[in-house]
Amino acid sequence: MTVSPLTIKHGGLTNVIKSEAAISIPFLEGDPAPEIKKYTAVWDTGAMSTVITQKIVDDLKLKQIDMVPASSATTSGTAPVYLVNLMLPSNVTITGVRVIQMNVQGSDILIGMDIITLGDFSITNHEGKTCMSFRIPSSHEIDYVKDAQIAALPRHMRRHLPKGSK
Amino acid sequence: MTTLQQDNQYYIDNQDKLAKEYAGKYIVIKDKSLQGVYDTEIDAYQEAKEKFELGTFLIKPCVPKSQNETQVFHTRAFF
Repeated sequence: MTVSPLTIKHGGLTNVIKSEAAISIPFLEGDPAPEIKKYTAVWDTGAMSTVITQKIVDDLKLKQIDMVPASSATTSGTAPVYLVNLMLPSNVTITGVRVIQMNVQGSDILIGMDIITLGDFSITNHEGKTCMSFRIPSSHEIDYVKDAQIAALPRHMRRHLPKGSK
Repeated sequence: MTTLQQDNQYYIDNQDKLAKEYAGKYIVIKDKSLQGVYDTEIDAYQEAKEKFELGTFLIKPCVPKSQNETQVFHTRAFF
């Protein structure tokens, strides 16, 4: 499977990771493409699922397919569920994503852990510049502890490590 | 209670019984009865929308009550 990566670099440090994302009603490859609309999305590791706002439901005339118990930082309740296709800037379309409709602060979509766990996701802040990178599917583990252990090895031992572990 | 809420209640009332037969599948519920069982949610959606008006049926991932999960949002989502 081809790896589809997405990288967003900031000029400085940021505490909100945003990207563009597009939403449509669910359709399969080969079906006539329905209306697709672009929105601003926040990548949120504190969200178990992907969330859309009422605005998107209204824009795309989405129809509810389920309801689930949900809990925010302040309250709990039952939230409507919709089925959509989600398109990320990396040209990846994720077909048939169950999204929850709630209010969202500062964007129209929260990309939650249901999407983030489909691939590899990293945030680095080298030289005071935040860089978010994401790829689908997952291709390898990032382990800073292992990196430090390898870096601490004498040079001649590092040369004999298996390919990919340096 | 709306029709979808009634269908949701039907699922809750019969969840363990349904899960005994259909755990891991996606089920379509309408008019307080089981209308179909599918391997994937997109299959359930595609078939159900051919038979019924969108917005009049529920698609549930079928799991026993013990595996019910509340969706938690720690930061930006709110009611």
